[in-house]
Amino acid sequence: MTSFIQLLKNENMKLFKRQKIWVFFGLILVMNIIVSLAFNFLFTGIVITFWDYIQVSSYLLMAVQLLSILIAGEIVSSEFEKGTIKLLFIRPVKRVTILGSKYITTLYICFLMVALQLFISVILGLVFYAETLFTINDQVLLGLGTYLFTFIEILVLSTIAFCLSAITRSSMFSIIVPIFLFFSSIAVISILTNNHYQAGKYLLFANTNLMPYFLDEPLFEGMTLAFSIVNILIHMAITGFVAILFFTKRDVHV
Amino acid sequence: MLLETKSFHRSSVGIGSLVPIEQIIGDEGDGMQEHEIVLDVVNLSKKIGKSLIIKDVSFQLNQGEVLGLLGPNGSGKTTILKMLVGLLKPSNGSIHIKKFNINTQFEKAITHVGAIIENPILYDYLSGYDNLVHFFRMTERFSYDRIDEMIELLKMEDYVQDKVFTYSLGMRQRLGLAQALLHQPSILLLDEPTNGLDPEGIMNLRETLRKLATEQEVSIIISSHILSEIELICDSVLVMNDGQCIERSFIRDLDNGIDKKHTYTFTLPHIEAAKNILQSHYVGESIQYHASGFSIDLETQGVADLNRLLVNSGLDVIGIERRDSPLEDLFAHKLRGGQT
Repeated sequence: MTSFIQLLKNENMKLFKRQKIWVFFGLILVMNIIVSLAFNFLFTGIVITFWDYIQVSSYLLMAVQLLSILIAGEIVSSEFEKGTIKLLFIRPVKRVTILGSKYITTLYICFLMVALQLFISVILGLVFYAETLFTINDQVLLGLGTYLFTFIEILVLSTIAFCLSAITRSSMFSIIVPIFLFFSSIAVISILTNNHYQAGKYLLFANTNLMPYFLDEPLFEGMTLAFSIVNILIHMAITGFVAILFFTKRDVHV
Repeated sequence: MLLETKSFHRSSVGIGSLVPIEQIIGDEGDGMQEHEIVLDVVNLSKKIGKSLIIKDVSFQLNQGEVLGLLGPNGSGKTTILKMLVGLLKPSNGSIHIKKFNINTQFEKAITHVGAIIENPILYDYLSGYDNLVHFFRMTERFSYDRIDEMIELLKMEDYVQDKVFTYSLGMRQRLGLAQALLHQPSILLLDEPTNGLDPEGIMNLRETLRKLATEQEVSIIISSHILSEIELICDSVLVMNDGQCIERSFIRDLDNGIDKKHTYTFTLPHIEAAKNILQSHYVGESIQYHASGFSIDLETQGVADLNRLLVNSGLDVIGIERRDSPLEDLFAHKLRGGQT
């Protein structure tokens, strides 16, 4: 009934009128400045091109990933923790529509932070390495590829944090669990690949990085791009379904 | 001891003579017009885990009626309100708001409802104004003019642009009321709305609610455990205890009947002389004597008669005061009666 745009406007207002998002943007800026300065003044002996720098800066996406989880993991649960969900749920809007507007907002804020990260590193790259902008080699693809594929990974992780947030109604849980899963699975997957334990390919986090299909070898033999995409979609569909079910059906006791 | 209180209450009920609601609605010559039923609750029950916290509650609310939802803490007032707005799903029974079922036709039903459930919890980091914009956007009637109108009505101009975390509880209550009224609901649900309001704030709230009920025919349910407030605002009461509705009646039937007896306290300096007169004229009445007077149950005419008798006997009567509140009487009787 009420237009979806109005709900997006609301979510937007709640994000940008809070300090948190500006602190995150500031953090991204400061991190990039520190890295670029360190690079420029520490590695004086070797030649670094503009595209080398872009590729290096993509490691900062790891931090952006954490920040995205921090937002995705609380965008739903904070409404429960503060009690404002009661005022949201007594409007002529379907609960699933509210959840949808929050999810779109989460995706959009992830995009915004990745875009900001890329934008800042391009500016800093131009400041320090502008003369090598047109030195075109493998690094161009590698740099931009890392950005694209890490962005996809960020979307998947944020989706999981978001769903957990809707299911458990606890920000703490929905933020810590995806981070823990992500880092522990890096260790687990590397053990499994070293031992050529094939079942490891079904793990979500063995599939979230699609870059190897284009620029490297896949983690396990027999993995294909289609396999990984289907694997990701199945995981997201299941958590998404449970999230919608819990969000729309459960009583609100806060 | 127990027996005494019981018999006392039984007698006081006999005097108060509560009229069941069904009788009133059916009574045509009552002067009260038939109103549209805006809320219809039938056999409502709620089970959480294994405990049944609402047991088979049924009631109706007419257009323009102000209903007080009374009961001690934990009696299920908030649970009922939460079911009325769809935050909790009933285990049994149905709720219809303007003929729409709250669970199956949620959006259509909830459009007619404005509510504050428990303390009004708003977005702390937004201004009062942004909060209003936020919640109003979720309805179809959004307009900035209406927001300004609401701010003016509730006199919030001075602080509406400040962040909500700087607000006092009273300011929050008012903002909560504003968000509940923005979309011009036909039913207003208020959970303990006087919490944190100063006496002036309570008076303003009372006026605002009265206006809404009489001028715009908004039906209002107010939950409270403060009897005097309910009595001053409400047309009718629903008394809850232990998840059950134990009384549903109109205040005006509890109150003010000329032929009904109430407890009056007479204040006079010569209490001993008065005692003699009373003992000879009012045999068998229960009279309680105090240091500065006595209390007696009388009808309106009886008060005048007694006063004349005392004055004619040469005694000064300094004051006559009706002491009890009919609602307090009802509340005490019903609750204690239910527990013993």
